[in-house]
Amino acid sequence: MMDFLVFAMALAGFNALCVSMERHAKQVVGHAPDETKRRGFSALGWALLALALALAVYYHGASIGTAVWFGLMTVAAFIVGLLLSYRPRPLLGLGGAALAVALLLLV
Amino acid sequence: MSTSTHFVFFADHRPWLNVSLRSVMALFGGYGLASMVAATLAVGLPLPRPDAVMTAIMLAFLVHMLAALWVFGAATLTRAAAGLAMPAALLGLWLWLLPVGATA
Amino acid sequence: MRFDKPRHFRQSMSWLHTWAGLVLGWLLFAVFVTGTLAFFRNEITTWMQPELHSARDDGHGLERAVAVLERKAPDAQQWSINLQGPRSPVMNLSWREAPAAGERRSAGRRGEEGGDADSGLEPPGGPAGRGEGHRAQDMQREGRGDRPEGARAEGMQREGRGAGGRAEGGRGEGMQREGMRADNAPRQEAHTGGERGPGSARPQRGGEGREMAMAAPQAEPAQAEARQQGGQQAQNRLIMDPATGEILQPRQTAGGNFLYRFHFELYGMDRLTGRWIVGIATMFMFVAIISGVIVHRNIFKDFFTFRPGKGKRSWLDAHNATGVLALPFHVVITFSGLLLLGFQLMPAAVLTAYDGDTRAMAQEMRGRGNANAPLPRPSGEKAALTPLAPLVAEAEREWPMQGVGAITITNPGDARATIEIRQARTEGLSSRGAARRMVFDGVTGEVLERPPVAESSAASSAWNLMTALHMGRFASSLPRWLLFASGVLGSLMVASGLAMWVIARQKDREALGRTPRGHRLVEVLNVAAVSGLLIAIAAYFWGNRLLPADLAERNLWEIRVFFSVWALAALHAIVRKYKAAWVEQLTLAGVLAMLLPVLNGASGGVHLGHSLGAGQLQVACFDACALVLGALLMFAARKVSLHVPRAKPGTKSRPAGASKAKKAEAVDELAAGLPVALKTEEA
Repeated sequence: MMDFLVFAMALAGFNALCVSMERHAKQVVGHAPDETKRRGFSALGWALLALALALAVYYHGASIGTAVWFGLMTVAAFIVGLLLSYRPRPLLGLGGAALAVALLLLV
Repeated sequence: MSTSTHFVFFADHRPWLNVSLRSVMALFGGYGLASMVAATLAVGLPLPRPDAVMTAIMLAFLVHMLAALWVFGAATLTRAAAGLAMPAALLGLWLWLLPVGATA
Repeated sequence: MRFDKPRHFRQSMSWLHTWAGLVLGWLLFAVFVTGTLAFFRNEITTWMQPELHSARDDGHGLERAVAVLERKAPDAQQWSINLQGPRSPVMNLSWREAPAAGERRSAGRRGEEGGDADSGLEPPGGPAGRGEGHRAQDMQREGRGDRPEGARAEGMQREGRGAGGRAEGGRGEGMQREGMRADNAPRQEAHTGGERGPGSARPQRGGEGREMAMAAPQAEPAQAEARQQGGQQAQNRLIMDPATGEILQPRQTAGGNFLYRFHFELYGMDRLTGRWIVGIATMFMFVAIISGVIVHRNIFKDFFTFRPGKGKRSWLDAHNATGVLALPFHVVITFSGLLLLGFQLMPAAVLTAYDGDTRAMAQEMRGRGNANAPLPRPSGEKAALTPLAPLVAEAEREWPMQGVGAITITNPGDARATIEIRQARTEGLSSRGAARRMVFDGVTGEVLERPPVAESSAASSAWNLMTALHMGRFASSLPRWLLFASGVLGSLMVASGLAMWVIARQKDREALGRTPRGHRLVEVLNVAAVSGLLIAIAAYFWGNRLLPADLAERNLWEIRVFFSVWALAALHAIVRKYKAAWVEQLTLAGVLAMLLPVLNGASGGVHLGHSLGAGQLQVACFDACALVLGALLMFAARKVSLHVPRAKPGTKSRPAGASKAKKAEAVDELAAGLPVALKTEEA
């Protein structure tokens, strides 16, 4: 379950990061959000990724945790990239939804 | 990227020879330099011997990779060769100056 | 791009990336694919031995195991039990007969030597004399599939989960331990029997094997000898169904181990040669990856970029995405691959530090590692062995995350019996993959000691971290799956890079009006190396089930099927046009893979519907993966067949002639990700 939370955070993090990029934001939202909003998304994205790393290391130990984090990031980014290419709309809330599910499962 | 500051010789002007020489330098020169790194650091590093050996090997592979990038990135063949030879010579000097059996 | 003209650094790197990737790219693809599969080589071996599929765990396997060992080896000096677990449904039992007097002294080392080997301390490339010893190991290994237990014993015991009780730790050791052992063999000679625990008689035969190998000039006769040895070895190993206590006799198979060994030493050649070739290819890969990163530059900006349906651009995007998304994996797996072969590829370090004496280094490493207490002598008094289950339960309470992997019982039935329990998995990657142990009194069941795991230095931590990661020594299956996924991405990266070389030169060929011989060569090699290999792997699994189960040299026949099919695929690639060859081969590979689950159910295995329900996850996951990957291959085949080359009329109308060379160059650089801006600024 913890692993799923890490994965959800990575997914949400990449989701936020891709919305923070002008070109991709247009794909997802239809228009580019203003500069401050994009900065916010960028910060949120990086923060989520960092948090995911912390969680993975806490749970698995430094060496395996980092490896798991990188691996989950790869999968998450792959999913975000695929969606962005073929079906960008769900990216509006995908990360948030994944996070919510992960937290629900945890409780 | 002006070539006037570098020594240029005929092989620099022959595309195939140029590429071939660079490839040879990257493969064998790079390996030679990497081996020098491995040989020198294995005895030169102030670490317990097995650690020094492992560190040396790890760095040697990195050096080989960087040497390949250098050889193909360098403006002229001479520069590419010099970039391999000089560090190798320095390492050789270090290895030579190390007291025999210092770490044995 | 020409090196005799002034150029930008990134143009040079682009050239280097293209050619370093291409020259050995086909080999790299094979290494990547088989290596990716090798993350699951135990599971693959299990799949390839359907006799084991229906083994169950009812929680009382331990009593049955002890009963079997008491019956089969009442006088043994040591018993070893490798428990079933997430990676194997069966228990592996083995024992070591009591040695004659005088041989005891060195018998105390069990997995420890393997433990050293974990650090990647592998000197297979040593001088000739050692090479021979090394070869002996090879021969032995060659014989593995010829034992009745076949590769199972190889995968599970010798190498696998707990050879020497080292549980998972032992897994990737093939290459390392082998080197170590080759190294040890001359020193300890034949009487080190059982230094690797379950392998009991093995090191003795290591000695023999070495002599035989030296006597045998060629691999073929040596294989026969290895088989003979295998026969002897078989007497000391059993595979037991934990739920019934039944001794299983699985078919011979080359198993997942063939793929594993192929991925770093190829096949049909001297192993040192194979490792050198793979090592050189790995260095090319390393250079290609780093130069690729330099060329790509906009890693973060283009992180999610994939523009489908845009010809070259899409291929470039796909190549970039597969490369960048798993970049940490690619760098680590490549660099650690070099390290795993490091003592062979870079002998200079050991040459100066140890005078080329890898044995001395191995000893020094070991010296600071775990201390090996000699085995306690039996008292001669009989005493009943304490039940194992409570001890295992206690150990599991101690290591809730790692679980129990193996149990070693020394002097069973004696008043001085001891029971050692080892973790199934290690806690971290930097500690040379060493598992923790608990030692119990075999009669009273009291804990005697909890030996600490040796701390490792910074250098060896880094080394171990890399190599352990490469070999996937993990607690849970999740990281293994993640490695697998990254490996698939890596394979796609290599394949897309190869495909792109041809695509990027499309205009070149159009301008020329024909396909130059060099291009054709790349085309044929692309098809043969990519889809041909996939067909060959699928055929290998088919061969596993279609060959008669009692065929002599069955494992060799499986390998022959693999290579013959691969050769046929290469032939097909030569005969057919590029696109047709792709479509046909990808379709065939897809069909073969998708039908594997059906074949499994029809040829004695547990089929997907049943294995899922019954929790036979190793088998179920294999079948599921085959289905998914097969479907993806079919999808790819369809995509290729529907593909229509774009913009053909446009290029034809444009004047070729003088600007031809320049255009080809531009395409080349575009393919390597060089932005147009750079070229205009240059112009």
